[in-house]
Amino acid sequence: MASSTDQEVWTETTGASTVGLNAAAETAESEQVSGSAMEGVDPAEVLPAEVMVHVLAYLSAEDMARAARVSKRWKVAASDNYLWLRLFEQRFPFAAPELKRRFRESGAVDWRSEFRNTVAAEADALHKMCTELQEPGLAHSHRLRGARLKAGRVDARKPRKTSATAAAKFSFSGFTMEQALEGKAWFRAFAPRRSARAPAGANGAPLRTPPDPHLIAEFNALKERVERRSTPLPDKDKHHLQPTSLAEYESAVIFFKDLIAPRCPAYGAYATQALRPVDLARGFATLSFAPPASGQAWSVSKGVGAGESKAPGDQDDADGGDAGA
Amino acid sequence: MSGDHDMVKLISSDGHTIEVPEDIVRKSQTLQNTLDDLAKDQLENGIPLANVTHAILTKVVEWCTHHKDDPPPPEDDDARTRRTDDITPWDADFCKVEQTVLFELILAANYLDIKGLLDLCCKTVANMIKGKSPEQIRQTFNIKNDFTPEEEEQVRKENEWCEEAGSTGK
Repeated sequence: MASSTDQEVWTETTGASTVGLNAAAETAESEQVSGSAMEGVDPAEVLPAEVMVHVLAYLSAEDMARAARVSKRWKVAASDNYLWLRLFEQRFPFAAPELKRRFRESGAVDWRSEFRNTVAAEADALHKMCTELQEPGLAHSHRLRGARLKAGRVDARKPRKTSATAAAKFSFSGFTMEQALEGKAWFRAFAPRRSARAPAGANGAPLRTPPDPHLIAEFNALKERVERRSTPLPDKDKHHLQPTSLAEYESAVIFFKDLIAPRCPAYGAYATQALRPVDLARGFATLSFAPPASGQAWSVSKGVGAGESKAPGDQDDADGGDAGA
Repeated sequence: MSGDHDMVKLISSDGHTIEVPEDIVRKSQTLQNTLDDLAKDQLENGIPLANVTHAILTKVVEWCTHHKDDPPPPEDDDARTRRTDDITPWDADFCKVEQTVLFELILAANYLDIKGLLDLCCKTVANMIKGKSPEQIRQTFNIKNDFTPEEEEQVRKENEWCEEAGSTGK
C-alpha cells in the first residue's frame, strides 16, 4: 500500500538514528495525547484486562489491596483470582497444596479471601507467640532472637502489636496457627536456659547450663517423630510433607540451624545449608546430647564412631536428665 | 544488506513501512510465526501491523535491536515473587517516555508477543504503583475516584487488613 511512498531503511542503531527515533516518538505522543492536558493515563482504562494482569503480577498483596481502592475498574482488576492464587502460593507455600485439594473438591476458592483469612490466622498465632517469647528467660539471647526472626520474621522490637492488621506484616512463611504454636513450644524447649553465672552466649557459645530433663525428653520425642515421618518423604521437596510433620520439620530445621549447628562441628555446614527432611532424618539418627566430660560446658555431638556401638536407647532422656540434674 | 541477512518490511497501522533485519523481527513470536507460515513472495509487500503505529514500531525495533543477542527470557515462575528492581540502565532509559507511549508499548509487545519487552514495560508500570497509597496511584495516572463515599468506605474495609499502621487510609 503505502510502502512506496514513505519508506525508510532500518539500520543498526546509531547515534543519529536514535535521535530520529526520539523525535518520531515525541511527535506521536503529542498526536495521541492531544486532548488531555495531564500526562497521566489510566492503565486500567487503556489496557485490556488480560494485559493489565501482566502489570499487576509484579505487585505484592499489600500493593494489590491498595490498588483495589483506586477506582471501580482497578477494584475489578485487582480482584483477579489467578493473581491472588499466585500471591497465596508465594506467601503460604505449604498451605496452598491443601487448599488446592479443597479447590478441586468444592469447586471454587476465592483466593483473595483465603489470603486474608490466612493472614489473620497467622497474625493471631504470631501475637500469641510474641507474647510467649517475651519471657525474660528467652528474650535475652541474641542468637535466639535471630532464630525467632528467621522462623517468624517477628519484629522483636514491636512485640506488643496485637491487631491483626499490624501483625499481618509479619510474614510467617506458611505456618498455620497450630504449627506456629507448636513451633513456639519448640523454641521454649530448646532455648538455652538463662543462668546467673553464665548466660547462654550468642554466636554458638556452648550451653553452660545443662539442658533440663524436659528439654531432652522433648528433643528425643522430636527426633523420633522426625526420623519416623520424614524418611519416606521425597527429600527434594518439602511441599510434599504432610501438614502435621511440616511443623516438626520446620522446628527441627530451626533447632538444627540455630542450636545444634553452631555447637557441633560435624553439623556446622547445616548452619548455612538448606536442610532437607532426609538430612534431618540422618542428622537426628546420629545426634546425641553428651553430658559434660569434666565439668565443662555441655555439648551436642554427632554420635558417629563412638556412637556406632551405642544402642539408640543409650541417648534417651534418662541419660541426659540424670547427668544434668 | 542481502543474503542471509534478509530484510523484512513491516507496515505500521498509519501506513509507514520500515525495513528491519529478519533476526530482529524474529524477536517477535507473532512475526516469527508469520515469517514461518508465509512464502517468500507473500512477504514481498510487507507485513501489515494493524495495531502498531509507526512511532511505537520504531521504539519496538529499537528495543529488539539493542536486545538482539539476549537469550530468550526464562519462563515465569509462579512460585516466586517477580522482581521489578532488575531493570538495566539502558532499559530504564528506554522506558522514560510518556505514559501513553509506555502503554502503547505494552499493547504492541503483547500483540507482537515480545516477552522481554512486555515484561520490561509492565515492570515499569508496576514500579509506578508499588508502595503508593490509592490516592497517590490516582494522581500518578490521573484517575478519577469513581467510588461513592459508601463504596469507598466498603472497599477500604475490605482491604484494610494489609494496611500498615502508620499509613493514612485516605
